[in-house]
Amino acid sequence: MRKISRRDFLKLSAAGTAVLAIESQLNPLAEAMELMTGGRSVNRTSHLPRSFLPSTCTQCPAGCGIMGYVEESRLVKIGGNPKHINNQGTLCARGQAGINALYDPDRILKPLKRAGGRGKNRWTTIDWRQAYDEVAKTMQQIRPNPAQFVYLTEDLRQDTLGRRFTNAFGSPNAIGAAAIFDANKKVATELTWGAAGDMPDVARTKYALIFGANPMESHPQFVGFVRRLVDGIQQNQAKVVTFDVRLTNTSALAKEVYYVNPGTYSMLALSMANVIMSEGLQDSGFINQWTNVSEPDLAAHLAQFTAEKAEKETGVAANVIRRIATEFATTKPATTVSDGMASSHLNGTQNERAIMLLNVITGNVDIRGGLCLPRQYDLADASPVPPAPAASSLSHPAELPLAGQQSIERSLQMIQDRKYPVGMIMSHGFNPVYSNPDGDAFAEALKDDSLIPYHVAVTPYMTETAALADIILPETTYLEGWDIEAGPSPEQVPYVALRQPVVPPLQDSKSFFDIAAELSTRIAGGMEGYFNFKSVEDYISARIAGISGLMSAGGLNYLKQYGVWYDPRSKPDYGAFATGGFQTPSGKIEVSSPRLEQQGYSALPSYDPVAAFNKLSKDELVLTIYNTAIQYDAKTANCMWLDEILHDNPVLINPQTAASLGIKDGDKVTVVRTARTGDGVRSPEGIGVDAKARSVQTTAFITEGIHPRVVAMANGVGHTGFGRIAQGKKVDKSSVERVLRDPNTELVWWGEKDGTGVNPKKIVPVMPDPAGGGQAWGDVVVTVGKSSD
Amino acid sequence: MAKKRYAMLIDMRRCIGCHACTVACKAENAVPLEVNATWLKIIEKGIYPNTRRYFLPRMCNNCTDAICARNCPTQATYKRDDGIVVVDQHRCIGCKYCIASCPYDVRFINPLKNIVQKCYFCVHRVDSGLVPACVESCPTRAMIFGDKNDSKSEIAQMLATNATEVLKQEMETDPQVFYIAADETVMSNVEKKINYRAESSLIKLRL
Repeated sequence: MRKISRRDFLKLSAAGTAVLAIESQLNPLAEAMELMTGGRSVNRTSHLPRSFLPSTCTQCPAGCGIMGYVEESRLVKIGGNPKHINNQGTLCARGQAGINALYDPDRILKPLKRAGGRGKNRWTTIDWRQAYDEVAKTMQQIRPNPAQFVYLTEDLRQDTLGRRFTNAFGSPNAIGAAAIFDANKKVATELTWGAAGDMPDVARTKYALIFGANPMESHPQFVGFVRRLVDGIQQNQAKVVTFDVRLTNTSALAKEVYYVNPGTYSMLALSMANVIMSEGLQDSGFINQWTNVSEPDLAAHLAQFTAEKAEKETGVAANVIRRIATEFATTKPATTVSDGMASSHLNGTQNERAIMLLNVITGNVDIRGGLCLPRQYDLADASPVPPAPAASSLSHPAELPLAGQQSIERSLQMIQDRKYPVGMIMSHGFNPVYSNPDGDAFAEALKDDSLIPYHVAVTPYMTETAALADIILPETTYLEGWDIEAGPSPEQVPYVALRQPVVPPLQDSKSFFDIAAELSTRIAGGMEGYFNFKSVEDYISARIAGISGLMSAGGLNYLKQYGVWYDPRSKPDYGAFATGGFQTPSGKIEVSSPRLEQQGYSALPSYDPVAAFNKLSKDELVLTIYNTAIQYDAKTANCMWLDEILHDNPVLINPQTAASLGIKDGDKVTVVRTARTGDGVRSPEGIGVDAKARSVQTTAFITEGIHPRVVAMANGVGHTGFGRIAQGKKVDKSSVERVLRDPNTELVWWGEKDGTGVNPKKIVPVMPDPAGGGQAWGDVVVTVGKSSD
Repeated sequence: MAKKRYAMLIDMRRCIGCHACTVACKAENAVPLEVNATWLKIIEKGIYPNTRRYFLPRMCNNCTDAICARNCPTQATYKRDDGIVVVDQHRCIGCKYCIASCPYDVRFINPLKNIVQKCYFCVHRVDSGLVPACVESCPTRAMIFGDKNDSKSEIAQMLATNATEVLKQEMETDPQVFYIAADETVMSNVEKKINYRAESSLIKLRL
């Protein structure tokens, strides 16, 4: 038996010396360990090395590089890809548990056609020929009115293929869901500095002010971001201060932790900006050269946000506001971190703009250690690119003009309310019945075939949404499929990453490329010309053709070997705006936003209180739905290793609040949404209407780690579909396809012991911030009382 | 050159409580549901608004003076020359003496195989020149593993330059899992039978 020596490993990794050079800048100790830190795996008994392929994770949107380790064509382990610039060989719990998703015992491996009424859960197995025939026939029938084809997907920014398919068909109605979580941030940043999103340079900062974000449990670039934040704290002695309504993991490494009244982040940030300007701590040169406001005008506007007023509104003491503001302005470089709950309010867009302002007035914009522009390659779609049809009232709801295609919660509501005629829905890997606010209402719509005549679900799983389909096309999981990604880089060096099959598609499952290409060929009428590629590899090659550095490194072959490419000589190009300006109409940072003003909002960052919060009665509380490092929304609950850690979601209540309500730890309680929710919502049209479900039942979990006026429940559990594992049921091996069998599924214990929680999003009405269009998850007013049963 | 002595160092100034180590261990060592060889303890301390979370990744300490090895009637549990305490699955008779004698509550019966198991620092990986799976996975590099007798190793340097603690020093077992900056409350009460099931990432353990 041959054992691999340390020397062999070094030889194997020598090909990537350029990569290591960049890694070691970040971590001088990375190469000091005498054992290899990653990139290889051995069999436990034979010690023989396992074969592997690099690919890219999709368990959350971060897009970490993974290694799929395979024995006898079975995936046996997922590790991190040491070459990937984001996660650098490490991998979170979700990424490692992806193997559970591949071998989910209830995975669908053959096309299914419903045998009873919609939602009756009676299915007939059909072959692909019949499935393609039926779907293509329906699509041909609605082709004369192509906009009646509605394509719903998880993340439209990633799902280029889905957009291509929809555009080629002639429909403008490709709608993505990712925006329900971050549309406000995307719109706020786009309006302000002309790029959607931001990337705090936390590895190199000295001061990070965190508003409503919880990067140690949840962040769009989770591992890649948090490892750099911890490096910043430990190697760079960065000080971290957090403001949140509840205690999070991020508090563990923060120097100072503050509770803040819900929905008041903009007040807090603006009062700090006021301190900075009135103390003369601002970067006048930057403000004068790079923003569209004058110092006196801005200072005059900010003067209303005094620290005393902010103390009353936010609950953070005025002296703390003054001290933190001064520290932020005098520590260089500094940055803010804001996503998650800062965005998820009716005033989320203003919150994000107010928080950005702190970086702008202190000159911490796109500098080393500051708040940086997102750096990513623009992956063009492959030629010939189908023309994009003119926007529809569904894809771009008129009442949310700034949000564009990023307001799925509103789009689905329009379908429910018969405000837009639908001929057919194709839901692709997306589960709105679970993920969306008021998912029950969309479920009702899906059950009504007069409203939605045909529903095709393209997914590996019987999700709550797929269960309401006419036909289910069993897609491969991300571990058997192809794609190309270029997310924003937490290292500030852009990269391109490949997703490739680490194992062949199980049984009859097919990749979305194959499905889209075959359907296009059958639908024809010009559509087939856009899928005239020899293979998915040709399609991907065409998409990367414009990136010359990658092409000269070997193009697709390089990616297949290493999983990721970035220019090894590339260094973060901080301050590149100095030559070309910002991508806004004025070329400057639009602190004063004409586009917001046109829509009737304050042009300058401002504080619009969440009206409902000022009228709360004694018993009314604010519900927060939080994300964890374990489950990612609708994606991961079929992974048993994750469910074992997080499978239920009691409601977190402060002890004072609980005592006043007569609630004890572990009591069965009912969380009821009150009519106060959505009070004062300014848009007249359909926004802020009641959700179908008014209450959820759970248990009380009493903790000091929460604001007394806030209660919180975890996201990602409480499934009523998505297979037996997600619902905490034991799975008898004999009931499972051989290829999916795992003896562990018989040991599932949490369903009987603890239950699998409840989906709190059921009681959340469709309630976007009218400016940014992002869902105000954090603005639901509830009462909590002991359940009568 | 001195004999190898493998040890683990966990730097709580870097731990974010993400459970990557928990799942890495499950995957690497085919640890069944119901039981864990590596897990994460999470507590919250304080009274609102002065509150904070603390974490503690837990695993076998691979003690120099391993009581379990001393008490094993069949020598199924034994200590290797490099200090790693392992269980020979073929010799284990499932008598559970070792479980009863472990002061750290790290041993368990594998429900699928009916033998005793625990963390053995991923010996199969270490013997192949790789760090344990939890160390590889750790997103923030809070875990360091290596030969503490090799003065050039990262762990030896870290041990030499940082104050460290071990669990239950008073047991005089000389644990080989060291912690930097762990909270004293989260370090205490390890003798309490803490069912890891109760430690779902919500903080069900309040001390």
